[in-house]
Amino acid sequence: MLHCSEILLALFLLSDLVLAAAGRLPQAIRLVAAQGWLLGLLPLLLWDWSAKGCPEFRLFAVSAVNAAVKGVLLPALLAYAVRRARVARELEPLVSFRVSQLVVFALACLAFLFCKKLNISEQVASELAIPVAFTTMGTGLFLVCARRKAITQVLGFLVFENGIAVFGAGILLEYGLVVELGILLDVFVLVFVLGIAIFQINRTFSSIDTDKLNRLGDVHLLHPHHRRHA
Amino acid sequence: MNYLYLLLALVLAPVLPGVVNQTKAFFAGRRGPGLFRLYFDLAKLMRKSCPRSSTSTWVFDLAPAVSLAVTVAAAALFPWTLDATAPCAAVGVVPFFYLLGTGRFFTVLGALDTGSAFEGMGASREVQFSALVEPIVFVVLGFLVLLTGETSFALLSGCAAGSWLAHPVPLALAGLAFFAILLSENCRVPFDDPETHLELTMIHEAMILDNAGPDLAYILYGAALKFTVLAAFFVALLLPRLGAAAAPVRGLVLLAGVLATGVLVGVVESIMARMRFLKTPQVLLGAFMIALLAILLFVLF
Amino acid sequence: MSFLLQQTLLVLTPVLFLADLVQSLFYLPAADRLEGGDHMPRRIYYACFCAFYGAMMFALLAPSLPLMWVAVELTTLVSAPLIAYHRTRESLEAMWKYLLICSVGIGLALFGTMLVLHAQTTGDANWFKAGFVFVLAGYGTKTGLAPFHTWLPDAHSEAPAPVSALLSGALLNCSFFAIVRFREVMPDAVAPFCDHAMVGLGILSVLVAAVFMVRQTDYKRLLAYSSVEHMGLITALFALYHMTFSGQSRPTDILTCALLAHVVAHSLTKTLLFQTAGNLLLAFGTRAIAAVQGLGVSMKAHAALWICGTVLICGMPPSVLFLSELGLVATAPVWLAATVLLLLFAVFAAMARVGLAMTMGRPVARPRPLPRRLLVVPGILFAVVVVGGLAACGVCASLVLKGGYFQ
Repeated sequence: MLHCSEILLALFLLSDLVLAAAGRLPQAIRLVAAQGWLLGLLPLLLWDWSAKGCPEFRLFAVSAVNAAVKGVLLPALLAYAVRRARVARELEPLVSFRVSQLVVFALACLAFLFCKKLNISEQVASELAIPVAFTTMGTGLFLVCARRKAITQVLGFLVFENGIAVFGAGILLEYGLVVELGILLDVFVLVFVLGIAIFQINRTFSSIDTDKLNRLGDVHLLHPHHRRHA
Repeated sequence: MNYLYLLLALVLAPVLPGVVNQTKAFFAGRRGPGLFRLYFDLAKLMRKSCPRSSTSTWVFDLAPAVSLAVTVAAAALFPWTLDATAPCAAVGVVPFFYLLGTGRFFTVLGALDTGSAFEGMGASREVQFSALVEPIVFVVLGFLVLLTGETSFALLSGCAAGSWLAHPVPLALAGLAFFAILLSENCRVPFDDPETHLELTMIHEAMILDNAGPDLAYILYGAALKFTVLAAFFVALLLPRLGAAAAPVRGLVLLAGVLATGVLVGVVESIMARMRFLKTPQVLLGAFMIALLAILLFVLF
Repeated sequence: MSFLLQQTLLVLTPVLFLADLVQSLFYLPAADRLEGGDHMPRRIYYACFCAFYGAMMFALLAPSLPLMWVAVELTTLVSAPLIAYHRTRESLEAMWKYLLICSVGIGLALFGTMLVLHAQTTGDANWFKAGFVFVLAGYGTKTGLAPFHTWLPDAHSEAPAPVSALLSGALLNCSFFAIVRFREVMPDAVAPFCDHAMVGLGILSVLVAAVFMVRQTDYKRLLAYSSVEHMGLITALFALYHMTFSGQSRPTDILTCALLAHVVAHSLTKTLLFQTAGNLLLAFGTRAIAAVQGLGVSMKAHAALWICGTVLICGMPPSVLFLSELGLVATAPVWLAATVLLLLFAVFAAMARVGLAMTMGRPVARPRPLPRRLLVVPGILFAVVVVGGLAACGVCASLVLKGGYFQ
């Protein structure tokens, strides 16, 4: 069982690497969906079956709902948004795909080195889980920063959220069914609201490139030759 | 016993492309050319004459034969019964990959010698890809050396004890990276399409446009043999150690694994399209990072 | 402290909600009539408005730390559509930034929550520290602490006035309350670390706010930066409360009162100011300070509210903020007190410049006539702030005369 979970976490790591280089939005959405499925399986695989016997109902419920929401519902929602906005790819990311992949790889190296230093192996369910969680969170944040399309940014946020969930599963955190479902509900509503926002941004700007969202801000106030509005 | 299986591999090598093609035909709903097509092709080519351009030199004449010869030499180094104590196996894996590289070197040399633009382009692409693949090969080898502490063929998990039990995830990652090497080195989809006959898209095929008759037969057979050898390496890399089994059984398992790899390659080719040329370096970069990740996981955990 | 703050916010939030709901009833029809343009259906607006209030109360009442996270995240989600009530490019941009920045921030807070929960089972101080750093960054984003405040001026300036007021008056306090709850569960071993981090972020927020207020050209953004400044002050006050006098009783009482008074007074005054600013926006159709001049001539009541509100929010007596800032300066170490005073002076200069420029002088544009009822809620709030402030000053003065508190 332990090896199964490690292979699953390695797949998680691979999906991060591939996501960094995924230019086609449907492909990226599929990868995030795959992460959702992996996330659903993870708590079951990390469970110590031989020592603790069959887990309680909560674990199964959380796994099933996780897989359903993050593996099916949200990807379907995003795929719908992609179709409505008529965009297929992230053409000119702020950071090129190759460099992105290198960045994610560097993140993974740092995460592994950091966790090696932390020396937390006796506190966690799987030695791999914590560095993989850090890498996934880092990948998510990186995608939010390094991509132009609104949908890719949402995907980045979902990856970030997945990383946090992997971390929670890795330290065997149990906060009860209500909280788990509440967190999932929040993520779902968030993607829903972001989807509506994407729809309206697309309608107003005829594009979902977020670098068009550049009207607000106060950095110009710091410029020495700034003049007040006449 | 080892040499018996080497002989078997040499004889059976042309079956492997047949397996790939049959798998693809099965997926496409066709009957396919049959498993033994390449034998007939080779027989036909051997009977033909071998016209040579008046502008090419002895390099072009010799290249196919030399390249086939070094590939056979590489095949001879491989422990076909997964027995690390076989005399040739002790030579080590680095000469093995160097011999395969030498084979490519002569093919490229022969292509350049024709002076044709298409063949030059094919040679350039082939060299570019192999330059990208080479680091992956050596990172994977480095990982195996770290894992087992051996530099002979004993580093293969099929020969070494307990690799799978101790480090399953890094080994799986190394296997994944090596699969990318296998596809790229043998000009398979998604890196190159062996079926294509449009000069602009061909890589390997573009290099051998001027070859005909027995020369072409050498090249085709050499390619099939290289495929077999690398597939055998791939299988031996991933196979758990068959310690107690007798040598003939191990050899048969290995050959069966090679055929299964052929099926796997066929499946991959059926479900994937060939990548755009510009995208291949990125995928190879990904494979490189996967191989590095294997080392990282092994070193840190 | 977290209990007192919870009680205070549980009273304050409904009051603010009511004030802003009533103002919405007056403001939105006027805004639709005067501004025109595409806007969200009114029923969705009110649904989100009430859900926003519900989520905030849920955050205040949440029984456990993770549930509180769920609630605080929910406040982001239901308040985001409110920001884009008017469907303009700028408001969509503000909404997008608000959603993305706050969600990532809140995600960090979830991570921090996990670290803290895990630390509670193992008792490892390093996990507590790491957890608090992430919680502070995460909920700090929502509280508007620099350098995570970037969403705040955008969202506050683009939202309709009642929403800006509720965001600034109630939401920031709710997420601050989340930080307070986490600070309470920290063990003594990591207390100095947490307090120093909070003082640092608080002072940085005041500094950043002061820098951006001095040359500000947009009066709603000015108010938004003023919120950043006050949340910074509140955070610093709270850290001081824990840090300086944790063993003694009396000065801690001063700081407790100062903190609660600051929270309440800031929320009420800021609501008053945002509502007045919304009225000015309706009358002039622009948020540029330069275009709104000579209010003293053209809109006398608004001029009075604006200049008095500006002065009150800067902490001039009879504002309660004067007392709380005095408490901060009196109890803080000298270097901290000097820094805070210097920054507060810069903020005061910026606010006074804008307040005077907008109320004095000759009008440059004719304001559109506004319905009188738009003045009702700000007027009541103004009365409450002034009367409450006078009462508090009176109480405090009598205490000082008795010679007890400030040695």
